[in-house]
Amino acid sequence: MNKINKIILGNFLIEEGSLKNWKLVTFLFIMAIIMIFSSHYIDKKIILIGDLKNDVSVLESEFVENRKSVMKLKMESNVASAMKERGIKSFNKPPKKIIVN
Amino acid sequence: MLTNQKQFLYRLYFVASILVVLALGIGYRIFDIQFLEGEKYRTIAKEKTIKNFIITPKRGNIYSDDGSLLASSTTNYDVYFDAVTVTNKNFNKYINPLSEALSIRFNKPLSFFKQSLIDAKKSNKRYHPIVRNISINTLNHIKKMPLFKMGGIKGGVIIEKKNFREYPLDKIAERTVGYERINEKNIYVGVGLEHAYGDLLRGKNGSQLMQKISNGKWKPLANPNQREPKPGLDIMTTINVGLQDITHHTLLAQLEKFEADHGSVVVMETKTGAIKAISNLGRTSEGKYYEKLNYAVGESHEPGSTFKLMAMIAALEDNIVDSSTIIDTKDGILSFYGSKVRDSKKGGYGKITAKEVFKFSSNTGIVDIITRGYSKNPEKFSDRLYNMGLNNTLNLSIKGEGIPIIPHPKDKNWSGLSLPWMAYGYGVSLTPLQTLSFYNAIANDGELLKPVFLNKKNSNNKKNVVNKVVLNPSICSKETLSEVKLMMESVVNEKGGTAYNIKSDEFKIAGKTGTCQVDYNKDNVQYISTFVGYFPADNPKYSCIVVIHKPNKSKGYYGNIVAAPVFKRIAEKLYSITPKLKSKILEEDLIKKTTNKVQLKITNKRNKIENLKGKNFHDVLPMLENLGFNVEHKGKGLIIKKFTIVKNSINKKIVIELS
Repeated sequence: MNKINKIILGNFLIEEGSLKNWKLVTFLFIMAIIMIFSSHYIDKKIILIGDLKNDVSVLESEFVENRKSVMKLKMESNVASAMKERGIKSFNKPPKKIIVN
Repeated sequence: MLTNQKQFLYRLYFVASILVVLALGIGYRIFDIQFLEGEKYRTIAKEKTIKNFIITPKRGNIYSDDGSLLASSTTNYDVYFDAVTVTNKNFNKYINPLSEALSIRFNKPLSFFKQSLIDAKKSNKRYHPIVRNISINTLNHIKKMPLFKMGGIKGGVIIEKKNFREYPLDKIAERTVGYERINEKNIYVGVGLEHAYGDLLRGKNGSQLMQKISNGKWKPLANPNQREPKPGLDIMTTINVGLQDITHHTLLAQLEKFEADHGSVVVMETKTGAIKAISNLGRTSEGKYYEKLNYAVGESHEPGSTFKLMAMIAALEDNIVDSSTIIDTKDGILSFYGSKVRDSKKGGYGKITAKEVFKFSSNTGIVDIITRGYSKNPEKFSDRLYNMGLNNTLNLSIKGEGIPIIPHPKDKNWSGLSLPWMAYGYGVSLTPLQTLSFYNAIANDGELLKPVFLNKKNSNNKKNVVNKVVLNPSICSKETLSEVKLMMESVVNEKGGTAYNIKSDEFKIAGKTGTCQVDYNKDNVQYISTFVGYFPADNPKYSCIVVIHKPNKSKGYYGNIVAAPVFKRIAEKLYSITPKLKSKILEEDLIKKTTNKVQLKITNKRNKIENLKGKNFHDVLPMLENLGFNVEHKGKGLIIKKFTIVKNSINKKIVIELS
């Protein structure tokens, strides 16, 4: 009971030779701070990763959407119907590939 | 004083005892929560903050042969409206501009959105659907709309993500690209390439233990049973988007023109068996067409005259005829047990060679050849067809391939009519893809290839390669091959050939028409129009089949009229996009050739340019423009008339008349 009283009253911090106890307390304090900091730091990173994953999915969707519209734009049926008004038709003869030395 | 002290003490005891009772109560509750019901609450807490997540992998993409996307997993969005969080002031201020913006974007009346939003506000709805399944680009537009641009709390917009399988080609090749889903029995079901290569595309589920942290996010926890998800593989198909587009629209136009029930077109690369385009369109009750079923793969039907090629090969292989043997077409009618075989030309073709039998597609001619050669031993004919592999399926990766039927005398339902009927393609049954594979074998010097849908990346040069699968290295002898090749060429390129109408001046087509009767047991006979062949005939690059079912008879039903023009259009397209390779020439020759191509003579005196008459306008145009003329023309084609030159100080103008 006496010992518990002493701990509660904090005698171990003021009595002779208490320096080594202070060292331990400081060490424990620093460890606790590091633990809390790293736990928050990890949480922050996870939130960042979540946000970035969301950004990636948005960008992927944008990519597919834009690629789809480019694909549709360059389809011959689409170009042909756009050019119809201007009286331009696709040519029936193939281009000639000439290799020049 | 003493009384006061006593009273104070009583009060103190009273308060203290209440506090003690409260403390005991709290103590008991803590004990109860911690120990008596501890397990229950600990489980609830764990369930709320720690969960084992099944992580679904990203499904692989499907690409075309040039790297265009045919199917891709992406995110789509549902948009809801929280009517409670928006203040009345903001709601009344923005309801009109918001409804207007929505009506413009989604092409619906303004009143539709306005009424829907007012109803939601009146009934205090917190989750009122606005639009579903929209793309990211549409969502970005919505986010900029009045009210919604104020965000989730002030603007009341709720956005929900969901995984979505995007098919950039939409309705084109819809059935071939296909789909896949899990049914209620946890089995994968689907059609097309999505299902055929589902094992590759799906990937494997992963699992991860997660703990809930602030902001609604979950953080992974270390767990020995943790499994990383394995993303699905991308697959590179042989489908060519450009050609698929042409095929789809050409078939669609022809089906609409002839009001046909359904049709299919397949284009195959001769040397590899790679399917470059496959289109299947069926008619709805409203007369519209869409990719209803994969007819090319699944629909086994009587091929009609296109089967004459198989019959002719059998006859040539068994030395029953050669291409110059004279055949009597018997005035166009042959009788077997009371049933008649008729030629499409009344009175028949008289006495013609075996080659002409094929060229004119004479029914009586081919039936005469086959019955003459095999009536005593019909088993030999069926066995010959079996040897060519016609009774086997192609074992396609796409599910649902139709089963071929080649009758055999050992069959229970074999009759005296079976042999003559088989000779011109009745009683037998093949899918369009099976017929095409056989014709492709002719183009490919007798080697029968399996139609393939997948490309593989070459590990050395990263180029796409097709692993061809040989089903039969040689379906017939070289001699027979060269004879039937000439017969197929005569169908298109010689006068009187059934498909002479699609003869091209640019390149040679070889093929066979088919006009097959269906529902011939009923009063209303319908037709299947077919054309199958390959091109260019002298060095085949592609083979193609066009099958059109039940065209409107009043508009036409013959294979050469209904199906063959589709073939020609596709062949022309493929021919025109493949550059012709000119032999290597020296640079100085090129300059000489270009400059000498069109010679223009300008006489300064009368400001006249000669030597233009009869020249092609397109050749002359750049030359004139280079000389500084502003050229105007009337008509098309060659230059027929003299032209007038209008000259002023700024430019010289020429008006040219063309034929």
